[in-house]
Amino acid sequence: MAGDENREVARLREELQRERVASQAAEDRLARYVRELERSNADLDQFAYAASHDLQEPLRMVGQFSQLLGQHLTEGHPEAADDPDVRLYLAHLTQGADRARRLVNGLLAYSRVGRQAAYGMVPLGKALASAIEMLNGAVEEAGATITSDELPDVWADPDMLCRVFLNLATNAIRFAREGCPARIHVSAESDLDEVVVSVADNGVGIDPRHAERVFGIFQRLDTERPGTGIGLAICKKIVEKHGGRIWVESVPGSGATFRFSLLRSDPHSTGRA
Amino acid sequence: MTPSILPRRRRHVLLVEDSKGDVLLTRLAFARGDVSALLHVVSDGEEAMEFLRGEGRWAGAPRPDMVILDLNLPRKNGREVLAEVRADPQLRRIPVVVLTSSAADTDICDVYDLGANVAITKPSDPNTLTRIVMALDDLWFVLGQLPSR
Repeated sequence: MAGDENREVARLREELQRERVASQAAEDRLARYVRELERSNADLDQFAYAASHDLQEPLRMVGQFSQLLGQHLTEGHPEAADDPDVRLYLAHLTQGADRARRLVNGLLAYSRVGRQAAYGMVPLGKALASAIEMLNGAVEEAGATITSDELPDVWADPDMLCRVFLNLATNAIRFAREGCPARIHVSAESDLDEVVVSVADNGVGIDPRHAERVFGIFQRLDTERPGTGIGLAICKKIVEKHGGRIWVESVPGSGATFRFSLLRSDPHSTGRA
Repeated sequence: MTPSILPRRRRHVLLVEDSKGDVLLTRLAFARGDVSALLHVVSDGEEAMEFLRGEGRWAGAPRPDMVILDLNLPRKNGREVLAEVRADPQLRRIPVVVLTSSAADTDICDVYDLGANVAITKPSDPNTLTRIVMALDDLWFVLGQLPSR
């Protein structure tokens, strides 16, 4: 009987050893995936930064020289400058270069999100106030109003948080209904860990079919209005860097409410699960 | 009203720029802005240092009264040139204008830390560039006093 027991112990020991090896291998694999993912994310950021930075140069050349060509024709060859085709081609060149440059700038801004983050406890109301200040008269100009409830403190980078409010408010003003100035209201609801911030407007709204798509980079639903389609993508990147989510709820024709979640306190501090 | 009553000597400006398009635009801006300073052009950072020190093929080159410096340069970039100029007792007082394609706050802070006299984001239209070179000419060469050495 003792021989049987010994054999059983030896077998269990072997099995345990095999499992240990297997679980170590799985852990190593996971660590390797995390490293690869981090590296490929960093590569991607680097790529976007370098590409957008280097693209600016030739675009600036196209823009500058098409303007110079126009001025040169006006000064020296008035009959060519008056040719409607010449004017049309030049206008397309200048506008195309200008638009490409704004897209590249947007990409650059997107790739830079979070490069210099300094997280801490931030009063939401203060971030909203700085965003309104940065809108610099655009609110009054559009006849818009921005109101808010009592707002709590959140764990965030103040500049990035301000950028989220700035982009959402800019959109609300831009997508106001004809003859109906934007009314924007900011509120917040807290639970144990999270604060969900709501930015509600009375604008044209968003068809729920596009509710996901609007957060994609360079996605635009309305090409008649100004914009490059980068603002909401930046909001999404910022909120996700803070460990939160962003989404939109809307009844087309009567407004949209953007909501995003943030943490109520530092997730790395002790004394919290 | 010029502060000086003596006839001014011809001013020399060194443009450090590798983009042929930007060189042409700057030359045009000098011409359109009627800026009388003589524009010298080198296309990389090492050549810029040679020009400034009057070495190699630039032996006998005039000491520039102003340097207009691009940041992205081959061989030795604009930041390195700026740091070397500021560390050299013979060159440290030369006004350096950084013309950069970047408008990022970190880049701007960087070049002021390195001792740039002014940082300007490259404009996207030719008339603004003309305004810029006219303003530089006016401030440094007409209204301002340059160090004698």
